[in-house]
Amino acid sequence: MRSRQDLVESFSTFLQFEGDRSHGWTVDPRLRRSMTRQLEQESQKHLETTFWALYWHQRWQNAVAQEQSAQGASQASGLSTISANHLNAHVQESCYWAAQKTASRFNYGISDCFQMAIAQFHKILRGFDSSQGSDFSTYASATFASLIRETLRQRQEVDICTTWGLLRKLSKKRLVESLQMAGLGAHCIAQYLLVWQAFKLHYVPVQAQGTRKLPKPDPSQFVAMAQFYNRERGAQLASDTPKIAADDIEPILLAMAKAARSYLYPTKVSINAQKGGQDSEFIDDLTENNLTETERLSPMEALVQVEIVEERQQQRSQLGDVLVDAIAQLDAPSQELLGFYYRDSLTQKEMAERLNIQQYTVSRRLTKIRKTLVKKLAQWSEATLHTSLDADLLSYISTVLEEWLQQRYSKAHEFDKTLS
Amino acid sequence: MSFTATLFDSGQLYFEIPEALKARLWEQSQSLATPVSRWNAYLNAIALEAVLPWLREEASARVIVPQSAQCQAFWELVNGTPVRMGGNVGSRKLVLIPSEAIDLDELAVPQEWVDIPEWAADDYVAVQVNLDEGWVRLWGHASHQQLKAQGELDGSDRSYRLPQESLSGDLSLLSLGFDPALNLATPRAELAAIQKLDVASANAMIERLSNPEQLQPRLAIPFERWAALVAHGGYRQRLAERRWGLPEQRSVMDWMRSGLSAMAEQSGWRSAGMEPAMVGVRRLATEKPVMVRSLTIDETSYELRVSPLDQLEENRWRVTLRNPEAGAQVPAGYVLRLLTEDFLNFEGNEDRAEEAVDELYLDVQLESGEGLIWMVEPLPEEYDLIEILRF
Repeated sequence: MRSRQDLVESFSTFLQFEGDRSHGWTVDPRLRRSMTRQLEQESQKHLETTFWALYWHQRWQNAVAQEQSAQGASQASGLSTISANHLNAHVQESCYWAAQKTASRFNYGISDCFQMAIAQFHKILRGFDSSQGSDFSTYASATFASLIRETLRQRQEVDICTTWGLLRKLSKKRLVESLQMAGLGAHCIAQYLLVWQAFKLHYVPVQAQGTRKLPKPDPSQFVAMAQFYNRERGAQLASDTPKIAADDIEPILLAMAKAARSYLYPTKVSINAQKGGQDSEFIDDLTENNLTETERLSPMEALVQVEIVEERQQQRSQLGDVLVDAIAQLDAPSQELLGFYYRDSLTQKEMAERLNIQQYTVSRRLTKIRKTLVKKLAQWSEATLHTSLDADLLSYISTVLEEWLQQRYSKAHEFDKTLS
Repeated sequence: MSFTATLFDSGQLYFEIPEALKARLWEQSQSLATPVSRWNAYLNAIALEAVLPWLREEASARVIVPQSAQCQAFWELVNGTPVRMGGNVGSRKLVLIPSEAIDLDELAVPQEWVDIPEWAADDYVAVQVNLDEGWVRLWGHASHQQLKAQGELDGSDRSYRLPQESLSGDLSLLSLGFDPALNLATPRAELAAIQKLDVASANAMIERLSNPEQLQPRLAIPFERWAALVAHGGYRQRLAERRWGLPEQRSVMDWMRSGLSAMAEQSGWRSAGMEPAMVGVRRLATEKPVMVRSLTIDETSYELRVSPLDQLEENRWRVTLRNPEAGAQVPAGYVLRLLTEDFLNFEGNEDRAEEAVDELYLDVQLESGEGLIWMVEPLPEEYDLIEILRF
């Protein structure tokens, strides 16, 4: 894969695959126009990638907040989409590298891993905290890697489960999203959810071992589910919702399980398809006209933001020094464990094998090491930066720590040098 | 360990479920009222037992869990298990929320754990339970503030829901919160006080919800009424026990006549054998049993004792708080108090140690079937001991 160097390109192009190989970059013209326009401003010419990622993330956040307060004012909705798409373009490389790493380790296709990760891009958008001034693509790299691993895990589990086991092992959110992805409308989803509720109440495991291989409910259970549905329908569904018969239950449950399985195997999504496509002309409009007036930064604003980013970066490099010391003080097995995890990307199982300990001991040790490091950083921040020690500071430190470990260990030999 | 568990993240924690534990906890869960509550109890017990050793390792003080009868009552009614890290003052309270879901898309916390002040906690921990592969994974946590501010209250099952990206996935932060020296307590969101119920309404609600054919009692009446009922530890326990088909379990009169009930024993009561009962200076011809439970206050064990003052039919009782060590006293400032079952004071319901005393005691004359709640200050370390004793 050719990495993108140009600033405009890295916020407006998307990676293409042919088979399982990357096949160059496709330009999204709207994104290119939008980014080019931003860069026409004299005050913004010198700004770097990290800054632009933060910029688009803040734009995205503001637009979403506006949408929520104005109940979908159409202008705001176009802005949140375009900002999100810039960021989506920006993290294509991060996603590719995360996919490539996992694919080769677990014997999956790169393109498949890439699709399953990029399909969850919204989690990265929502999980990132731009007020902390972190690097968006570093955050994305770590998150993509863990999303891919987690999705693979879920696939394994889903593949083993019977329909009936699977239906008991879904969160409501996952079920709703699966049904939406399958193209069902809101009214239909509400009906399905009530059937699911009925299923969960009237089909309960009666042995201790597990729920993967649950058999089909018996007819009396389907009857009980239908009765529950018909009783609750008045309170939970639209008033004209018809009754349901016991025979109608099974096909609905099967459809839900099918949707939940498909959810884990997303087919290729294009940006247009993601957002419905019909508003694309409108977004063009926005980019050309409104954006120039309302969405640009004034030179002053840009300056303030740059200062914030620089201050945070400086703080991070100080924290990095503290971390180098803190890690040097860890005992050898702990240092080894960090290396296994962050440098070699070993799984917990592989670490357990190399260290000849139980796998659950690995997870406890890793948590303990993190705890030691977070505590050191927190105490240093409290003493040096005079910030009060609270949950916000800790979550900031946790992010910095993860980012630092990811970056540090990816340059393994440099790290060895600092230790010696 | 099978394949899927090899893919966990560094910030997450996971624990094994030993096979023997499964069998024991399954057995224990079978006394609950319905298949739904039995399964709920089983999952919660698995989550609790799997995580407890780690909590104990991380804690700087004792880890307090409700007694088994109390746990079972929670699980009869709602998902979630409370754990307190240390005594009553300055400690952190968690609620473990187990789920069987394969995905980690959201944490759904029943409204009771968030909106009832007596139930609310500092941290809510998402626990994924995989029985087939025999592990439990802690994959995220959220504060009370977060749930109230960012969580979405879903009316269909009365849960606050937070998506994964709003949770903290770094469990080392959770355990840092257990360190009182770091003083990391984030204030909980403010909550409106729950209305108090009068005895008649409480009884009527318990009557209505005690039928196990009602699979979801928590959703059967408006939340405010439900919250008022289950905020009260005594009513909560009675509702659960009624659903299990048990007769009155806390009749002291019955304990005296035919021994402690099963639930009383599970709640920590024991019979202290016979003692000469004294009325004034007159020694009764017969000896009367004494019922005792242990309490821990300030790392010291105390005994709460209930004994008849007279023949049982007279319904006159003495409730005593004392330190069982020979020569040990009850420190100044300690209070023993009795309240009606709906938490009202009455004349002469309090004995306060102005200076260290040998014991605190209260004598009461009661109507047949009357209920009392006992309280001790400072609060004992044990988890929420509120119970209604029936005389």
